[in-house]
Amino acid sequence: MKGSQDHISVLRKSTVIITCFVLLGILALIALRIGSVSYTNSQIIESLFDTNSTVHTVIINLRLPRVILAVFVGMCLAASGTLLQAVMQNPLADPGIIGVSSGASVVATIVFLVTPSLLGALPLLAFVGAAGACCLIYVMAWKRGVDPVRIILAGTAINTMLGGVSSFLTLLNSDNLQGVLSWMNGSLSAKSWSQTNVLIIYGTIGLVLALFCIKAANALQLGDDMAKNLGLRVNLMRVILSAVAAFLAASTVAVAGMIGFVGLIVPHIARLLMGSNHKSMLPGSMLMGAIVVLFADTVGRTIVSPMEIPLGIVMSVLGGPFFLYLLRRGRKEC
Amino acid sequence: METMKKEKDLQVEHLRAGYDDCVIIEDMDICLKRHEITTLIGPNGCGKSTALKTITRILRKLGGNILLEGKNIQKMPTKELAKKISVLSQSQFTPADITVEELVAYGRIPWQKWYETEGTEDKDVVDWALQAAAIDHMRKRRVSSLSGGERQRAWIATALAQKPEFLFLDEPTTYLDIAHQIEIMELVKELNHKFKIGIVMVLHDIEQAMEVSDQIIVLKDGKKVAHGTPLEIITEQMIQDVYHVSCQIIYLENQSKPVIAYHSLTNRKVRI
Repeated sequence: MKGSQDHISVLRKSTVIITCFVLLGILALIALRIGSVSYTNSQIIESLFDTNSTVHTVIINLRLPRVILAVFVGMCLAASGTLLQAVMQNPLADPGIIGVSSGASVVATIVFLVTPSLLGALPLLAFVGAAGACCLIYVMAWKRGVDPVRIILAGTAINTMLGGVSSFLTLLNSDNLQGVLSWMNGSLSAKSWSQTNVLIIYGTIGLVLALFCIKAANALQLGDDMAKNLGLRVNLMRVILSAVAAFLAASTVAVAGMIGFVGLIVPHIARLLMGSNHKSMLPGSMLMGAIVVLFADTVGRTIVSPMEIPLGIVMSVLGGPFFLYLLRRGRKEC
Repeated sequence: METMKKEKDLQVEHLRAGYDDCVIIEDMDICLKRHEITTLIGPNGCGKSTALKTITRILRKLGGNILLEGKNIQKMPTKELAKKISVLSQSQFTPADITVEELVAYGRIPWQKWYETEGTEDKDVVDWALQAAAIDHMRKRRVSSLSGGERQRAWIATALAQKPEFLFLDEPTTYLDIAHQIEIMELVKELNHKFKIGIVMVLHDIEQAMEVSDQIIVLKDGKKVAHGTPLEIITEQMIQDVYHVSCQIIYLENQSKPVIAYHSLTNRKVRI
């Protein structure tokens, strides 16, 4: 009986989810096919069984890890943004905007330039940086609770400061500049399976943890008083959710560098299509994040071929206007 | 019989409340009974909301004891408390795209384990809460599309879904027109009489408070200055003392509660 009442919205949500999966599949196929050399579907299928062909090498060792990497980067950043928006009660919270990614980036830059021997532990070290930035934001913005506006202002200031620190560090070590620069712009180019595997492991951990945060995120988005009234230990949950968000952002930063706007735009799209309940919104957000990043990376990789535009730049160029469009649209609906 | 009733009371002893840097309430004793509607009134800044938030543990108390059924609520797990007491602040933050039904279902959070999703019992309680607040017919609508009165009822339904023993409401009728105010007050009375939920409210309108309350508590400067039935404690002298407003309380024929005709300020020096 209850099911029939829920019918319309459940139907709509499942349609969105199925459409997303189909879209992701098509995009992945396109991403495997096109590049400096383009292949047909049958060539790709043949190559799977012919391990000695160049097609096999290109598809399995170059394009496939990149597709998977893009999918994970998208899922992690979108989930991170979704959690931060709930926990900071602000729709503008995005790991790239409020300095969480910058915190990870500063630590990662130090590791890159000063102690390359620690590169294996990069995701964990980046997490320390991201969590540190998170703490800093709360310390700066806290006054008898979270004020959404102060959070964004403090976050933006911290983001700028940390960005400055990163630039300064790279200036000091200009001989290593090339590698660091492409990394700071957020790029998925020239990633091998080993790097993809790192994100698969850390990303999966983070994403599973994020799914456990759904109930708390739902309660927190109603405001501190209401969340407390619903029996939530608000401060503890805020720390946990922020930590999971920082972990997700840090994992992507460690592997793919700074990529903005995904954590900002994707949760908005997910909210429009799936509603505000994180039970459907968070998984939807992850899925849409994967689509957006895979799309942006494929565009950046092919549009001015043989040159490549780093993903971070594509996201900023595509993401900015799209976000402004969402803002206008949102206002009209009210 | 007396002890039975006592068991269901909410006892506030020597409460000291406020924020770290300023104490707003000092040494307050209150007894709230579950079968009654109790209303806190008093001038702006007298500590009504602070008292409400501290008794419900939204704010950390600075001292004293709060006992629910004889148990210290400070020692109760947050979730357990959320099954017994629910509280609605003055204004709520509503997420953009949430439906009434989804919002009310959030009221079940304290009853669910962290890994659990909504069970049949949760759904039954949500249905009951929607019906009790008379918003069953708009369960599929988005909360942001509701009028002020409807939205207030949606939030009350959310609080009801917690299945509380006590429901605390901070100025539930502010921002509402008179028809919707009456509607909310009728709902509050029904919740108390029919479902035996103890109601504790903050109200500004003294006549409204007299109309619905079994007990009225008057606060001034963080102190309780009167506590009793409406007819006992609402007097011309009390209103003059507490609000510095002269008035006349008029008893009309065929009306159980009087009306208050306010005249003028008796004290031009406005306290800041």
